[in-house]
Parts: sequence; C-alpha cells; structure tokens
Amino acid sequence: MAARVAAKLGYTNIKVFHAGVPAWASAGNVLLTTSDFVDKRMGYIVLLDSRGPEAAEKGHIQGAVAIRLEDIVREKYQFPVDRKAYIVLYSQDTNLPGLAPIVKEVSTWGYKHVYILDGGYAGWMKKDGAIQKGMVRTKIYYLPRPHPGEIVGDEFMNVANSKPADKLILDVRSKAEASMGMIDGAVNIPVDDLQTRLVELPKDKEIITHCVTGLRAEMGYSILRNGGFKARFLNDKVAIIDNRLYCCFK
Amino acid sequence: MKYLKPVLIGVCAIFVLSPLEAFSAKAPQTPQMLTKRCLNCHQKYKDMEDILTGTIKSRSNKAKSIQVTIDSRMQVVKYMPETTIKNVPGIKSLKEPMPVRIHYKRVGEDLVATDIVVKPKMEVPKEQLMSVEELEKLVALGPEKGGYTLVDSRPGIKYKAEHIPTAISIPFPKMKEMKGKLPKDKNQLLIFYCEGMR
Repeated sequence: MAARVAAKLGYTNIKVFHAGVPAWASAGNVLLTTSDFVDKRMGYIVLLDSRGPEAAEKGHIQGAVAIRLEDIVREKYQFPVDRKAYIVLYSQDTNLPGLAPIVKEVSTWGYKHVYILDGGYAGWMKKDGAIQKGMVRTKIYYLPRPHPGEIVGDEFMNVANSKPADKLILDVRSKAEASMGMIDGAVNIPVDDLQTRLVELPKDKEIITHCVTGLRAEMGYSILRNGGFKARFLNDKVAIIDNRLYCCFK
Repeated sequence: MKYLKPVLIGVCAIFVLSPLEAFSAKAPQTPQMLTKRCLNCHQKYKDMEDILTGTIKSRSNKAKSIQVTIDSRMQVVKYMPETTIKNVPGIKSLKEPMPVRIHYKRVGEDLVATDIVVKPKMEVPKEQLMSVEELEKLVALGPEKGGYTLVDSRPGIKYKAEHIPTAISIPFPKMKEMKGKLPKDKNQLLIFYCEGMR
C-alpha cells in the first residue's frame, strides 16, 4: 500500500482518501482528463471548446465543437442520446472554477463520463496535439467507439437476412427461449452448454452470437475465442416475435 | 490501495493461436488464469491449483455464469447455489470491475466456481483516513494554499483517462523509482488515493 511505502520513505503526515475516484465523482465533484486520453479517443468523443466559435476559429483541438461556456447548458438538446458518451470540455487553460459548474450540470443529465481537459487548449498545444484553424463546428455530433468483438446492428441484420456461407449466427439463449422463435438459419446452443458443445461448431466460419441483451452473447463470444474460433457478438437488444427479428436496440 | 485494477481494453485483442496447434491436434492449452498485477503481491497464487484471479466483467442470472477479465482475456465461470461469496453480501453484488479470486472445479469442459472471494477493503488506520469533504476543501484551495500533495496511485493509463483535480500520477508499483515526484518536505501533507473499493 502506497501510504506504507511513503511512511518508510520518512513522510510523517500521510492521509489516504480511501473511498477513491468513484466516491469523489458520486459526491458531485469533477474529474480531469488528459491530452493523451483525448488524443487516444479522438473521433469517439464530444469535445467542447468552451471559448466559443470566435476564439476557436483561431485554433482549436481537431474535431472540437465550439459552444461558448454560457451557452452549453442551453444546447442540451444537442447532446448525444448515449449516456455513456465521453464528453470533454476545455478552455484556454484548465479553468476549473469556470468549467466545473457546467460539467456538474451536464453530469446531472445522466452522462457518466464528463471531464475537463487538464491544461486546456494551451496544454494540448504543448503536447503538439492536432489542431485546426478557420472553420469550426458548432453542432455536436457523436460516434460511439466500437468495442472489439462487437458486430454493429446493421451488419447483423444483413447477415441474418442474406445468410452468407462464411458466417453462422449462434443463438446462445436457453432452449426454452429459443423454442419461442429463432432467427432463420441460426443454431441454438445455450451459453451454459457452449463449452461442452464447441465441437459441433465449424472452425472455418465466423460465428456471431446473439442473446436478448448482449450479456450472454458476450460470454459466448469469450468462450468461442478461448476455444480458437473466429467470432463476434451482438451487443444489442433483440426480440424475435413470430420468427421475425426485431433488432437492434441499445 | 495496492491493488491496481487492470484496464478493461475490450477483449482478447491479442488472441493468437499457437502455430504449434496446426501440427498437433491436441496441443495442451493452458490459458492464462492469473492476472499479472495480482502476482505483484500474491506470489503464492502461482502455486495454487484451480484458482483464477481477475476483475468481474459481467454476470448473467439466466446462464448462472460470471465473466472475468484476466488481463486481455476473458473467462466464463459458472456458479451454483452452493458457491460461497466472500466479502460482499451475495452473488448479485458482483459488478464490474471488482477484483476477485475464484476457486473452481472442472465439471466436464466447464469451470464451476466453488468460492468467489472479492478482494477485501484495505485496512487503513482511522487517523489516516480522509473524507471526501476534507479533500474537496483542500482541492478548492489548490496544492500551494492547501499545503498538500495529492497522489493518484492507480496505473498511469487510469490517471490519463480521469483523475481528481490537482493530483499527480505515481502508480503504486513505481513508487520507489518515482519518489522524486513526492514533496521534499517530509512533513508536508501527503494524500494517496486509488480506485476505491465499492
């Protein structure tokens, strides 16, 4: 434990904020993120330049949307539906006192990842981050980052409809659930039995698992990958009514 | 504090089949069962049989299974009504990303958990504990006025993603080599935090 190591190093006034980051956040406090993280997640992040369009036109972080600090709350309707979206506000520097109230407000809308950029635009420049000049977006847009192993809903629907020879849809729901209706051409192996029944599956096809919510589909995917299969999973909600597929809800 | 949560970077991105497998149909597969980070402190796990360590990824009540992240890999383990759960009230309390040690038995091809032990909270002497309110007051003042150094002990990648304002990053395993970042004045207020447990 870090505190013990520090005591050994001779420090005398040591405290431990034992509750850690989750407690800090759930008490309504803001967290900072870094230029490195923004850079890594570029393209899959809502990046708000709170200095506003005029300042942003002179130079802003690549992909940023310029909305003046005092207008952000008013633009609530523009924010993404996905509450797990990453939202980062920045100013010229960290500007904690200026940005914190807005970050807190946005968090109360249900967003789980709202941050202030540590060091702001100046810090980004210091790190030689990519910038743009001139035109700047003023409308928010958001793309969720695809998870490794996930198949997007549209592609899944295509596979379900066209049944390509190199792909197999594996229904990992229970027998009882599957007996109420399955996707045409799919194979049902409940996730409970999958480990034992891997031998029944072809190694030369990509296997795409689905369940009802994505939870068991992901487990099935893990079992398949550990077993050396080529696989993906559908991380969406699915309903099959009268053998018709209704897909794909988040 | 010393437990450093592995970062959940998706799944099995580096899964590669051993080329040996092409030649021998029954190449013995010994998938990784112990998260490397756990072994920093718990060397004895290496000598224990039928255990795995990692962080909870998900749980399915319908499949009576939990999924555990073991570094870049995921492992599905079944559970039974008899499975014992330690340090949390019950199976429903298991949530991402709780660190766990699971003792299992093999039933056919499946792994079935006999004991699920959630990593217990670190014992911190009462006089060392800092409340969120105390920390809020200090952070509002800033390190200079507040006369403190706030240290984030989690892995660097966690710090980069999110950290408490005014904190510096000193990942626990690197404390000794990074001690230069600690204040020179050994009597200055030094505050540590990490991911916190539940």
